[in-house]
Amino acid sequence: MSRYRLDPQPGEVIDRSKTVSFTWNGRRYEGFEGDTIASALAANGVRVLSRSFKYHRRRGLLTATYHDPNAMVQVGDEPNVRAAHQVLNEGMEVSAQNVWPSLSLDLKAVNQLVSPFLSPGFYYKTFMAPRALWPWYQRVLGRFAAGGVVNPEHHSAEYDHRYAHPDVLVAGGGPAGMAAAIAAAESGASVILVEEEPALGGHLRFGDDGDLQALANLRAAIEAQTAIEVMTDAVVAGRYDHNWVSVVQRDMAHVEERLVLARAKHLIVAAGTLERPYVFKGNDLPGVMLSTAARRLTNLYAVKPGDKAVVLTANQSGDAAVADLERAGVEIAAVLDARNGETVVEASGRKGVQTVVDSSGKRTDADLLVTAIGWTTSTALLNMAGDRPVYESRAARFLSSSLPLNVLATGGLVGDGTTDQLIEHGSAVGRAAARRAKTVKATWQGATSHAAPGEIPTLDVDDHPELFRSTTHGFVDYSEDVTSKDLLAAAEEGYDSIELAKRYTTAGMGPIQGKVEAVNALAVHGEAIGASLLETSTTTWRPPYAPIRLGTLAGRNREPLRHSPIQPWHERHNAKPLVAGQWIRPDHYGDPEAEVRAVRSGVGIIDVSPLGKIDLRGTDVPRLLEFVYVNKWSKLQVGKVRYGVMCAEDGVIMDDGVTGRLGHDRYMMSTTSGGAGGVWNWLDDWLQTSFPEWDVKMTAVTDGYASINVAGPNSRELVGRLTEIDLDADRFGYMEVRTGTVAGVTDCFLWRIGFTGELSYEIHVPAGYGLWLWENLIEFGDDLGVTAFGVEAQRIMRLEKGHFIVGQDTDGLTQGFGVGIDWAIKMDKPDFAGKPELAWQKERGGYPRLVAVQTDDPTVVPPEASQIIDASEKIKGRITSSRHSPTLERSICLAQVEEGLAQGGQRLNIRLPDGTTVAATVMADQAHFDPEGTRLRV
Amino acid sequence: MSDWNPVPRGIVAKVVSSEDGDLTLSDVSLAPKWRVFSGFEDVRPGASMRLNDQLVWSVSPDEWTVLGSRPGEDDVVDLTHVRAMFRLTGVNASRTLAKICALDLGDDIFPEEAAARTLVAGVATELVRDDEDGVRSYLILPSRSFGLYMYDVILDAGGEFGLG
Repeated sequence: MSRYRLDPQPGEVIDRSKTVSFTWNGRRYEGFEGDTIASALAANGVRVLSRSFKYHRRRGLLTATYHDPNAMVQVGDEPNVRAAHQVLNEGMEVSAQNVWPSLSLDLKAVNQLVSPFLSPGFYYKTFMAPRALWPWYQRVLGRFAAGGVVNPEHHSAEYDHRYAHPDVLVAGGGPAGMAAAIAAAESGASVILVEEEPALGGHLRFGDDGDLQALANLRAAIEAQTAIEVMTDAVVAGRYDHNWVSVVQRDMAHVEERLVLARAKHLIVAAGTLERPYVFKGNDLPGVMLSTAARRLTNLYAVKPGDKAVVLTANQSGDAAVADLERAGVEIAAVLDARNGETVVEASGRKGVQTVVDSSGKRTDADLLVTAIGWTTSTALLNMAGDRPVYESRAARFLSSSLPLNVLATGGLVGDGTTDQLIEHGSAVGRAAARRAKTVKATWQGATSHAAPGEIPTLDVDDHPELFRSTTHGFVDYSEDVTSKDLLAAAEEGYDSIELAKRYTTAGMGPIQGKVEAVNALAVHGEAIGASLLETSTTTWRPPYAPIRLGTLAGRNREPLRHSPIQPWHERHNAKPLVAGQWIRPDHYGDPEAEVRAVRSGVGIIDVSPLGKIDLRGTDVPRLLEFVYVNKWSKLQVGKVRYGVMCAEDGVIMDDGVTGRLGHDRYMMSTTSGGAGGVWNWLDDWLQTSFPEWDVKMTAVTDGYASINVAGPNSRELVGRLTEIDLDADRFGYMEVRTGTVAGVTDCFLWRIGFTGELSYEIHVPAGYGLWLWENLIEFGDDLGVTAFGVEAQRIMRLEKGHFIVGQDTDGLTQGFGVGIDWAIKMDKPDFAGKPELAWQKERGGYPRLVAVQTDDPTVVPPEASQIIDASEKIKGRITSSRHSPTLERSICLAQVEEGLAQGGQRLNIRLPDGTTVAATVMADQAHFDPEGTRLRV
Repeated sequence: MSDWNPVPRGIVAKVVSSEDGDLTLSDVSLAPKWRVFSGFEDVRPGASMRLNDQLVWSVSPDEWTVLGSRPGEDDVVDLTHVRAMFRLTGVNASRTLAKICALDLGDDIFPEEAAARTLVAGVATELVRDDEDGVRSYLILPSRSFGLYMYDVILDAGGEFGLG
């Protein structure tokens, strides 16, 4: 065993029976289960963990927590792993980041020699001109960027989300937070207790016997409470309005990270304090560490942090560190008591601390310098809750000042005390939070009288000397290599607000985001502008408090998909899937043009289940139809269907489809596949806001029916083999509807319509029977050559017929009169949606028209969106749809053109994407094929 | 005309359970369901009620969903094929749903007999708490075309609790 590993310590968290081996920069080491990467390295005598961002100075453990700026490493293909937090796993390959060629010999450390020139604003000042070199600067500077290496081949890890609705959420699992959780649960609240470290306890974990006993009692009380859900190795990343709290759980059994989205009725912030480093010359040398870091190493991981130590102490934590180090066999070379005015002036040494100079000028040889000069309050969550923490000079730290009613603070955010006092305060806060949560719940259930929020006891603060910077200069921000001198220089240059100085020097903008350095930066900045901490403004904490992986924010890849009940058949028959909104549809089954020919010459079937279907019942349905469609509906007879177009209030075409009258007061409306949801909302909106007195009952039944269009000259023959409904042309005419039984399935309806231009029957069958009907159509149509056709073939056929598709041939400005349906727009109706705008459209004229266009060269199919230009190359329109027509054996188009170009016979020039121009002619009729519709009416 | 014998299909027509039996997901999409517009005024929006062989719930004013035999009202829309329906039963049912539904499923907010229209995994879904023999159980009713997606999502969410 390494000489740095101590005999068993009372509070140690390592399991000495389980050895874990890992590599560090390619060399094999061993630690114990429960070690962090950093503690295992420390136990092996490794003191240098990283090189600094700008000057590439050697850095070792500073805080020994997740927020240690010096302990970010590469693990396998994952960069920026927090080595003092990440638990060691067998076989981990750990290496230093941002070093070249190695951690021990880093040539980029040459930056130190030019450090006087790397002052704040160096980049802004140096790389401004000439502008032409910016891309080159970017490439070169990119090589100096910090951080590890991302492997683009990295496996996609799994992340997920979870919602939670606790009565009380406690952020921070130290003694006050644990006590608050217990008290809240005892008062009947459901509680989530979140702790960033792998175990509950806060500073009690590395405390003395009394602390450990108190911790054991608290843990036992928490285990006994089923109403408390404990989340360790988890962090509250943000607090938003109405206590919407995001919690990131790390290293879960099933997912790498989980984002918990919690709506807490009450939030207790018990985030405690972080120990603050001291600013002096050499304060970043390996071997200079905080008292809590030394105590963590010694007491949690049984690692001796050094051989000979100088301790600078201003508080109990420093005093306790002296005792712990002595117990660990570290020689205490000197104790400097800041309460008596003693302090450190400089630490020096080549690869780590070798000599410490104190304020009396005395030099002491030591390889460890432990500082305990004060605390930074973790106010981030308080800030996010609207608190403006106030500096308390007596305690030398910020304290919570005012919080909203649904947030309380306890522990170090409020004051100091013995463990018992902290527990007492936490308990009172927990009870108050439970009471307030109860009030919130009662309000939801209609209560109006509120219980009194209850008294929150105060917590006194301990006197603490104000210590930020010694008489020398040192590092303030370890992540960004910002020194106290840099901050003074920034103030000198006129950056006299901390918000500006922060951005200019980048202090607080590194990976630690100010947790360790913010208050020192404030103090040094205040010193520069001659203001105390009470007077300077503070920077604002915003979410997230700690880094969150992008994968965690994304969670599962959950994109809702919709499938027709016939989809299994499509898949079995190699349909090329077409993603149409949320629907997966068959685009074609191999050869869409062959599918077109099969329909035009025989019979084909297409799955049109995504068509929107709305069941309408009631005596006022005709009034609704009159209002939402531009054409007339009041005289629609039972058994008839009619085509209709809907225009929004601005006259712009929003949807089209057919509606059929199935019974006296029963109608079925169909919409486009993509428009179904929007139309339903629009109708519901009119009914609820403008016509609440109308008797209309509306039910969206799109998914209730599988819809199959049987099209082609042989469609009557095929459908007739499956139903006893009378299909005789005289008795079941074009644009009529029948209900009945098809292939033994009752409650079907059929309408005879024709988007393809052929005789066709659209059969709507209860969805559970969709596949049954489809397979029977295939089987019974075998001798007729029945062919399944997909969306592409349908699109070709509708284009041959000149039918427009809303959203393809129309756009967000296309009003009703622009698409050749003037015959359908009945301006003599008293009112309908869009009428005033349509009246104005007709009066002003000059709007684009939708026309059929054919190119002179029948082999050229102008891609959709090709521009139509005039002689002076001005854009006069565009191709909205184009295909090769297998029926006409030539290219066909629909186009929007300016009014003056819309007459049949008009010559056009179409500019293709490749820059060439082709000539074309506007057709007299919008239909390229069978303009009289004779094929439909057989 | 042939002797037809049509057989309706559900979504996956399957029941899957965790090994410990604490979580079960069943596709019960073919159960008869109906939409009515009157006749059940005692059932308030957000609640459900058992009436003989029917379970009735409401999630919006003047509309009721009836599970079971066809109601006798004049205007009845058959929802059997409009909605898929899954039943998720077990002590971990709410924990599974908590991963895909933002609703508070706690006993004091969404107790036995509660009903809601909410988003489950991004899909508008009716959700009814209908415990079975004292064991927590939910009926989940998205539109039928989302059925396969919903089944896969619930299975994925329940994987943590052994479902599958």
